[in-house]
Amino acid sequence: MKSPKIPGYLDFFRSKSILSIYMKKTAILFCFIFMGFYAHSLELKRLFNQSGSPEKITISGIVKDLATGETLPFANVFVVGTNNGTTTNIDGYFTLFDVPVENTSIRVKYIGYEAKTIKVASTMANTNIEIFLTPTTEQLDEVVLSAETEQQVVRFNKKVSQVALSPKELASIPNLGEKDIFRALQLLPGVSGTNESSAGLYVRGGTPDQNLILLDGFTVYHVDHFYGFFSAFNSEALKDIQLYKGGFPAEFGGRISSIMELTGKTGNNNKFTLSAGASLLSANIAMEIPLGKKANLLIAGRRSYTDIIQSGLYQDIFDLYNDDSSFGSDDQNMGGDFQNQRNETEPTFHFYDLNAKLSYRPSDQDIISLSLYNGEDNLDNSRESQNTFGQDNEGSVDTNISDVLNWGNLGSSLRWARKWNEKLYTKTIVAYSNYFSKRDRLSDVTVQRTDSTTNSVLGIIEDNELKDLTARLHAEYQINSDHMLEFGGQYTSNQVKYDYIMNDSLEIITRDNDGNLASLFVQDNWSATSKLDLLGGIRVSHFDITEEIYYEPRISGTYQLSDEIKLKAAWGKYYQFVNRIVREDVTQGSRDFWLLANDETNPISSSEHRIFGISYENDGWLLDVEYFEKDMTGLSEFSLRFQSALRSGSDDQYFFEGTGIARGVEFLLQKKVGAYTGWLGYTLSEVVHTFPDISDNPYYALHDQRHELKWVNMLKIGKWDLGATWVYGSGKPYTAPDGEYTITLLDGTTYEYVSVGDKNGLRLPPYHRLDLSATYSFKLGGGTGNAGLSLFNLYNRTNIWYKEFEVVEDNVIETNVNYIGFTPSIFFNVKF
Amino acid sequence: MITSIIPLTACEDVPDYKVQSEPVIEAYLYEGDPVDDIILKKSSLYNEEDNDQTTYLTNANVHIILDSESYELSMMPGEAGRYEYTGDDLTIKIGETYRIEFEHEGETVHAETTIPPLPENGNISHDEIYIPLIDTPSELRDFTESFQETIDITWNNENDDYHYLLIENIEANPEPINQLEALAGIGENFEYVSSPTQSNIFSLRATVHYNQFGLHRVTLFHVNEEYAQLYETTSQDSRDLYEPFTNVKNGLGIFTGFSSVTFYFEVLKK
Repeated sequence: MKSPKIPGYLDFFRSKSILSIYMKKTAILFCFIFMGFYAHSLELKRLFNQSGSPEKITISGIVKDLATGETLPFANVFVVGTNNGTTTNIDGYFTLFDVPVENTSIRVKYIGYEAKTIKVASTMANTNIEIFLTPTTEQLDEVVLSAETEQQVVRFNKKVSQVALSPKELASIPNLGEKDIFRALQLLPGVSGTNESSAGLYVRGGTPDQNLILLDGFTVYHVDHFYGFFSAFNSEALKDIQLYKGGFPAEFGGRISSIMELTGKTGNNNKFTLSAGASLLSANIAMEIPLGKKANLLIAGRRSYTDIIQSGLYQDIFDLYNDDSSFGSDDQNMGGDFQNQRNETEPTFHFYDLNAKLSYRPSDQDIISLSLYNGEDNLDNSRESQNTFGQDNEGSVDTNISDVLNWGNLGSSLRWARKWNEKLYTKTIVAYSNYFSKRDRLSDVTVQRTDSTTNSVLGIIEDNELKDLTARLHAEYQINSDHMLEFGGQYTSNQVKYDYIMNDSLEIITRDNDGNLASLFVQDNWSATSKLDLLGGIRVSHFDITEEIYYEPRISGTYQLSDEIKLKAAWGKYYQFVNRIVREDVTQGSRDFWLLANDETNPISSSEHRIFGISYENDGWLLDVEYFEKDMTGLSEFSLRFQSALRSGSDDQYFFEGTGIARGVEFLLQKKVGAYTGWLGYTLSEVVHTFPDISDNPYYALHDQRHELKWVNMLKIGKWDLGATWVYGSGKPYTAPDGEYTITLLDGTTYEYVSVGDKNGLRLPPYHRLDLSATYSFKLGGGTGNAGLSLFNLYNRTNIWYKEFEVVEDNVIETNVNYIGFTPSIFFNVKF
Repeated sequence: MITSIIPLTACEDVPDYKVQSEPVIEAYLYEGDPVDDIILKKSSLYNEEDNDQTTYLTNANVHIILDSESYELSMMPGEAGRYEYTGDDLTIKIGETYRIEFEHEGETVHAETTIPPLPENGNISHDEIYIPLIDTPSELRDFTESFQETIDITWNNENDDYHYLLIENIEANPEPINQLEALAGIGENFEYVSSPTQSNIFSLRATVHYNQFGLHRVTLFHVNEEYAQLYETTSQDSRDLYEPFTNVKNGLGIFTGFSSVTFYFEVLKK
């Protein structure tokens, strides 16, 4: 019988551990501070209103791009010379209270745009003003770059653990021919930059599935194209990117690590725009089509053609630098007479994605949009190899592996946002998302000895599909200049299917589950004093599979110690109801799939974040240090290694539940303005998992990386943008077979068993690579264009993705599956 | 901040990884028998020389522990790695839990097993069966198509325990039923071992479970789940690796107990 579940937050308050006592005190302290300042601010406000004051007005409006008329989300709007400021919401709306009319100006800043200052007039009261900003990338002539020009690719330090990224400014970051948001985000401290193959972002010891990716309100479950070389998102179709690395507010739910909120472009309102680009790997095209005065349509598509043009420049260069690491063995003996041979393999792939967005503005207060995304990858990891064994190489092992994967995501959302008045704004979203992933692997191994030939065939089919239907309401109510209340609700219906079949008939797993999640949240953005900002809230969710209610209290705050120094802290509780399961496979590299949590085989995941930090920031520089700690429970892993040999028909035996802790310190030094910008980021961290049924001892997670260093350099010289990035990460763990032994059973038969080494007990070599890029911008007829060269992995470092093992005739055949070596790429983009 | 960084220098309790061979136990206890089937060896590493040779653990200080009594085993003369108990004060009994224990490179390698009860209410359906001699392919075809008679071994098994059967021809000079395959195993006694089953019946079919004339012995073993698990792990495939089942702590292999009952039947010429 199941014991009554104690809500997680009560576990926390009941726990007697030193850490929990420490956190308990911190939380209580937060509460006291919050309540005390709340009372204090109300009292001050009352006294202030009684004493009379100069005329003050409320300014409400919207911030837009001058060239296209697009609204600009998350722009800073503030009264010059004061701490009175706000941020535009996702639709570009803002309300600024208590703005003195006399001799006052407001300033608007947004990354990728020239800052703008506007003198305040009494006529601005009770009207919706429009503020237009000029994009910096529209200015092809040499411009003076100053602190007022927010041309940074990323903006740190806005809120605790929050980073904003400008898709417009991505050209400065080296890439593989495509401007890439994930490549840029992976250069941030706290986000792993050594996962060329990542299915997304590993943020502060979390896994990609613990990172919620929202594109125009719908969830995207698979977020990169092959190798992670390209994100699944076309930067030409995006307007804004916000990454919350931890401690995120109550408005977001369903993930235990981080949030990435993407806002799609609405498109040019003023004129038809066509842009196109090509690189050695892929081509893209985007159209922005005004439809009358109130509507417009954006369509953007991309496709790689590496599968079609096999003999192109890319392939030549690729082969030139990878000829010694393709198929076949390099005969590396590992000692003695044993030929533990290593093979190398390089998969081939192609992908495409399509973004479309139809926007309609029936009035100044309403925005209705229909957004669509479809992306798919096809990866062919098939290969053949021949290895020899025996004293005189008299035996041979021929391996022929057919391995084809395809995965992708289809997503769509219908969204209605309305600014009812200067205080109330709502957005309503109905969204659908469909993730699919299929793998078909057939391994055919022939062992030839002097006197015999044996052949064995092993096939695996994996088929995973996830459907997500969500309705969401989010309201913002600006009570006054000190308080903005946000509240709302969400209902999500998930259907998840997963089949894992071996040898066409043996069903290891078949799952088909439905689950419904209903959530409510409320949070208050409170300017407690001129120096202290707090954001506190709670999210309450009901999950119908477990019939439980989950409480997620969260609080974060910043305290401006001086003009330059800021202290910050955050604490929060998080739950996740759909999980990506890591399917550990020692011999073929670990794979993963999505399953709905059910608290039986794969549990509800939860985490508790604790973040403390301090930053020093002036107009030109930012020095930022954040400590993070994340306790995770309900982690799942799936393995065939520990299956009960007596197949009972249940697949439960393949799932293992565990806990984890991720913690670390991030250091960031950023030069924000000037011709030369960039940052140096370092993360010291560890991720330890405890799965009692898999390992007697805690072990480092697959993505554990002790040290990671990132050096990002961007130089703007006239019409040239030059970029150089260097990434170093210490080796990640892996598991390997390390020996064998025999047992004679009662029938007299002697069996040979392979002994698998300590879980994640070995480390791959360190990962590092240097990328360079140069981009030249120019005018072309009535439009603009840019062309450039990008050099990926300049010094052709062989970075290992994972290892595959085969044990044949007392030999271990070890195959390193490597990331891509030196790859130059040229690109060309035009826009009319 | 400083205090929060300090704990990072001391990692969680993750042990250092060492590539080292592990002790392996292959030990079976039979109800009513003395302890003489205990083999200790080491796993061989892929990266060391002579890894195709089994390395036995010799001169280990091995003990069988029953309740609080410890019985020291000694290595059998001339049989490296094989241990026995030479005293007469230890007899394996049903229901008792035995522990094997020895020290290896600073760690205590140990395992426990409980001797299962005798198969309950075991029975053989008949003790003789008449089978025609098969001399020609057509006789073989007729036999396989028409001969349906079985000898059924039954037992009570309400708890779905694991059992397996050993069928042995115990004649001095066994004669094959199927003369067409006579040359293949002439003079050898046929033996069949079933896989562990949770059923309560096993039907013996001619030419499948026995293929010689003469007296046969059927041993019905009641086994623990640990043995059944290890038995099934024999399907471990080198391309789909997982840790084989073991009930040994700080080591690998199997330590398990059995009990059995025996039946006999005779195959006669029709």
